[in-house]
Amino acid sequence: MRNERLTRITVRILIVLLPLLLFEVLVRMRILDPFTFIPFTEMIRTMGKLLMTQQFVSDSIIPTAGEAMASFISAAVIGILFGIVLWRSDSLYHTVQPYLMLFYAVPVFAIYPVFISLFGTGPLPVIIVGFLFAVVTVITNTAIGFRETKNVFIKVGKSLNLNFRQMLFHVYIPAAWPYIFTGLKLALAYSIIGVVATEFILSTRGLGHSIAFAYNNFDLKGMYGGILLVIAIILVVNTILGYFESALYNRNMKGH
Amino acid sequence: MSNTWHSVGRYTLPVGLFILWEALYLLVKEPAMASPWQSIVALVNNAGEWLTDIGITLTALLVSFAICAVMGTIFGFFVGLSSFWTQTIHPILLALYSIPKVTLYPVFLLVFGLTVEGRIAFSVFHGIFPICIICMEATRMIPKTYLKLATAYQMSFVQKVRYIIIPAILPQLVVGLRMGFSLCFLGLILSEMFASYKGLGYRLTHYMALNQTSAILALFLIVIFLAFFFTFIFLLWQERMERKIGKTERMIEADSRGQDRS
Repeated sequence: MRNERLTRITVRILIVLLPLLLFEVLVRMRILDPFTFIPFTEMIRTMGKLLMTQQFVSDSIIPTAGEAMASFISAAVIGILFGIVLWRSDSLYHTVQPYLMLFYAVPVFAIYPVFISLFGTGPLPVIIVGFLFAVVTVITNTAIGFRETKNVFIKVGKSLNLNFRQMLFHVYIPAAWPYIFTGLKLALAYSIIGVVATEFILSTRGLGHSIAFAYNNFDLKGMYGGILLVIAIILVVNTILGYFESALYNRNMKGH
Repeated sequence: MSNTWHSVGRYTLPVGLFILWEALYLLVKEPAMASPWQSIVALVNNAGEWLTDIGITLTALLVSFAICAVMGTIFGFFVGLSSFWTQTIHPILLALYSIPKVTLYPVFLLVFGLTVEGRIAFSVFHGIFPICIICMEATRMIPKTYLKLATAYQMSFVQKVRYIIIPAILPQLVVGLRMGFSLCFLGLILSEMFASYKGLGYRLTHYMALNQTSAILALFLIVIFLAFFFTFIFLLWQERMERKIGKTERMIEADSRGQDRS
């Protein structure tokens, strides 16, 4: 059993590393066009260099981080509140639910130009797109989390004569929390993606802008460095939150 | 009784959104905002000119989705046949699924140039992962009794695929295809917005430069309409599946897994 896990991890690492190694060799041997690709090690080095550059941090990373945080926090607060409303009101839940599903299909970025004409090219339109991209998953996960509270728990709470506030803090929230956490985890990733993507299409600052700018100026190293940085950030965020998430679900399973 | 109320609520929601839109327009006025009426006028006036753009975007979308569906299903299916490979590859696919793929579009531009092939390739890359993941999991979780039945009937591999495996994975696959389609569309619009001389996404950025809000909103209505139209077809298909076999635990699971989009 343990042996199989070990082989699985080894194979997984090989699947990731071998193509990168092959890519590195092909680029270094100039079989792949050197005007299109740069060696992977070079990308890592540029990423490191970008992270060390004061100006890159203050012009690209900090604005993007700020915008992503703003859209995440607003999505979290409004999403949870709206999710609670959908939990309390059955008729509203059934009215809105199909639209929430359809909302996933809408390419939200298409509305970005409207926000630019409404709010100018400041951070606000970027934050709103990130918010719209992230909020639906918080709403659905919160509503489902509360709605799926096991009847046994509710009955126990009722039989102990808990009032609504006590029910909320001792029954509903603990039961719904893993779902809500999943929603928040996805929302954080979506906020970052939404913000970077909108910056990438049109904006004057931020990580997404720096990649688009590097592309437009034939700065291959800067472009690949920026891309790698964005991917690395998302992977790190997802891994950390995913770890907490599975711990949360495991604990909940044991508690049952 | 409550059902009629729900459907009344469902129809009033879009009406409410239009009223909100009109209110917003009255609040900020032109040129920052256009009224619903102005947008519909812009839509009618430009319809002839935009028809080619809609055609270009739709063709690219359908081509890329077809590639996505075929490649994603085949890949997911063959990996899913082996439990070892499924468990090995699953985290890698999830990680690829979660990265912001837009930032990789410049790489596609460098490889393909400003061509429709480049946009299709990017759109495929943007939409294929949910199809792979869901098809893989669906294939892996086919109940063992089904496969035993196939052995009992001494079915050939082709027969097994045709009569047992495809019907068994299709209900979940439909969910995956729906997610993949939405992501293909998103990827295509993004790539057109970033760099292109054709298509709906290009028109959006074009009118943004001209500051014609009514045209932008009209285009946005077209985009929403297309997204809803195709999603609706997928949902009908999904509903038919559900009627046939009953909504299963696995479909709900596939649905929630598919939400992990980017």
